Amino acid sequence: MQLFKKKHLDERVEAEKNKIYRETYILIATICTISILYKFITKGISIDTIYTELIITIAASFYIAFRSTQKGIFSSEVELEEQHSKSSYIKKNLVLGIVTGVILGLVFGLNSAINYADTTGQSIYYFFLTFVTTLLFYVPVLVVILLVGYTAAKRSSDKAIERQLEDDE
Amino acid sequence: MKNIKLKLARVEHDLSQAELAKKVGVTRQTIGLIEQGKYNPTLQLCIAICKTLDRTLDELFWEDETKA
Repeated sequence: MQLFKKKHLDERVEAEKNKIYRETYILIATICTISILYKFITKGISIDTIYTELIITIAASFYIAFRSTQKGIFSSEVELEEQHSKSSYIKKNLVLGIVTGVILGLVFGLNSAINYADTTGQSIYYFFLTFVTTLLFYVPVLVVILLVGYTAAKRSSDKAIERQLEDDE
Repeated sequence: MKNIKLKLARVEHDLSQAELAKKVGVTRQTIGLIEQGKYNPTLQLCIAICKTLDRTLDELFWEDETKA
């Protein structure tokens, strides 16, 4: 078992390794995004073809969110963000939710217009119909998910900080 | 080991953990954990704290071995 005995750690090496792990995560997320886009272009927009990519990105995101709240890092990030920015963290997230909804609307609208319409008039009609329907559905859903997620994560993260600083002040 | 010297210096400057944290560009949690001895700050952060509290590194971060 001597072979697997934990070695002494060098803080510089550890910091560099952590930097590499962070870059690796970004690289994997980028590859998954490119793969999803490639499959959408070559095989059409369908969720059946992108399960693996979705599982990888969603599982990794959930793990990061879980560990961040468990360690109280989420609250610290919110605090830092609000120290250095005029708009609040939650406001930025709401804008992100709305923008994501609009982008989804545009993608689905274009998909309907290109793949299902026979005439130009029909294309325009399908585009706007799908775009507006998607907006009406996804924007409120994304906003609610972000709000609920934010509130739950913040509460759990604040509790983690309280536990860590229990003996203090 | 708790860093009482840092806590005393902060209180002498009439600063809360959050105020000191803001001045040195970190979070309240980080200052709290340094005071509790649960987080080892980088030299850069130690220097920023020392400058804010008008103390030297020795005064705030040197552990006196004779004391517990």
